[in-house]
Amino acid sequence: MKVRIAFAVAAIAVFLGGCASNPQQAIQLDQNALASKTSRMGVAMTALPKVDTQFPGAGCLLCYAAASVANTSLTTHAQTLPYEDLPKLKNDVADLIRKKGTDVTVIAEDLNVDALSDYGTKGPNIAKKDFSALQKKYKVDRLLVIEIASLGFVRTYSAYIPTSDPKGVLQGTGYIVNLNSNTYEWYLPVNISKSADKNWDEPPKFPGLTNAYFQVLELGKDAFLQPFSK
Amino acid sequence: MTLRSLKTACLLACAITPMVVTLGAKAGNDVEQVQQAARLPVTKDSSWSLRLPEDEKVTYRGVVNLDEAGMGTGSMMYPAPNAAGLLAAVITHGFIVDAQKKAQKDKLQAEADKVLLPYQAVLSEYKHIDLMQRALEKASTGGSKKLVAFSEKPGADWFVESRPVFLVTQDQSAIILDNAISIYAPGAPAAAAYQNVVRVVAKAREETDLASFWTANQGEKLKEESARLFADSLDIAFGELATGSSKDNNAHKTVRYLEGNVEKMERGELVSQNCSRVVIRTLRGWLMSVPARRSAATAVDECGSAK
Repeated sequence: MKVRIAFAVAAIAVFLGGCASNPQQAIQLDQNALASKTSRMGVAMTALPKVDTQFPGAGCLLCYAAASVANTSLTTHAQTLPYEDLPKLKNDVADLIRKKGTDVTVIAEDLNVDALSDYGTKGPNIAKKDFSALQKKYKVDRLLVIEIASLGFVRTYSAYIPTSDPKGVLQGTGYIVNLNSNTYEWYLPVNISKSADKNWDEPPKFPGLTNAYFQVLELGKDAFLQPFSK
Repeated sequence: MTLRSLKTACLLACAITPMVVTLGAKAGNDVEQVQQAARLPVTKDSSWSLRLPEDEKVTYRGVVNLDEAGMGTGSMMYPAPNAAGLLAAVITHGFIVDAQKKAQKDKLQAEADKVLLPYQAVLSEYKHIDLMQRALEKASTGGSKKLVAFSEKPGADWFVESRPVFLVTQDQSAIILDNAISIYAPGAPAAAAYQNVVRVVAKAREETDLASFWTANQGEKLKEESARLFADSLDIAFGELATGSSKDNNAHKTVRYLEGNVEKMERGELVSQNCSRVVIRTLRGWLMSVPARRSAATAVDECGSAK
């Protein structure tokens, strides 16, 4: 009996321990460090996600099925929308950094952060993944990564019922990892959502929501570029 | 899961899904009808009439931001003694959430409308007849122009119906007009030759005390600016009627502009541009005239002849 209780307590502790891990806080960009002429910087992007719809809150299987069916035409439309010049964002960021005198290399390939091994040490401003191997691979001392995690439309649900109109959304993170220490020197979560001007439910082309999508594309790019424009 | 419970789940899904679709569709009804016109000549000698709307008072609203609207996510435990009970609970939940969403939007609009409080004395006295008379004097299209009563019908002259709604930015620096316009050709009263919504965004004013600026002299500046926007919208509509729309001929681009002192973006086709204004056709097919400015998205500030 005691063993069972101890096992249950341990399981709860592990479960709650997951909740206790703090998300990485934003770190302001140090403009002086950025302008360092002795350090080489790589600029990379992870693979862009598919432009799609999300229905947070439609938690149960049947709820999600109902939400998916209810928004089929929007999902179909979302998947036709282009990235425009979002893939060029790393070049735009690199150009701004280059103007500050830093030696910058644009990493042409998509960076697969998930494929990196976990970093042994945990703590504030320490990257969870081990980026150190990339120092040799790309011949850089610091790596600026732009991760776009989500792009398209989001509509919140409470079980079967939509609790908001769909909105254009871009979520992502920009960060600089010092490859010598595997620590973040800059960390910027970006979360942009825009509602349609006036009506949203205009299938099949959803012009109001499509406009919102292109707005979040522009605002998202601005958010990643702005720290380097100073 | 038993066969019976599986059947119940399938029945429930079939019952719920159309209901959720209907609830979703409710929020976006009344899609504006946009029709594009055949090319029709409106010469400088053409005479036209502008019909007064049925309502006397000019409508002004505050610019509202709905980006944060929505009730968020939340789990829901439905009391479900059986499938019918679950269905009833879901339907009830849907009605409650719909009512909450509408109440939230109404509240946001009411909050946005508070920007108009300093202007109530002026706006309560501003009638369509005054607005449209001023606008007719400013409109450059055609020759003789006259204002006619709401009871008038299209006849031998060009005939314009209009439903203007003005918006004031939250920083009070600019007025925006959304004007739903129908133009009837002479002798063709059955159907409008041209129908569209024209949005005109005024350039932001830089006065330090904007409320005093707009309301001075019985609101003369506010009235004049509104009439100028209205006249511009008519000229833009007549312009497209004359040249014909060229839908999808130009590549779409995202145009940046200032709405008051806030940067806004609109996806659309560039229709024309000059040093001060850019006219685009939005994804809805509406026309939109915005102040020109330097932009990363599109170089709208390059002065030159309109396309």
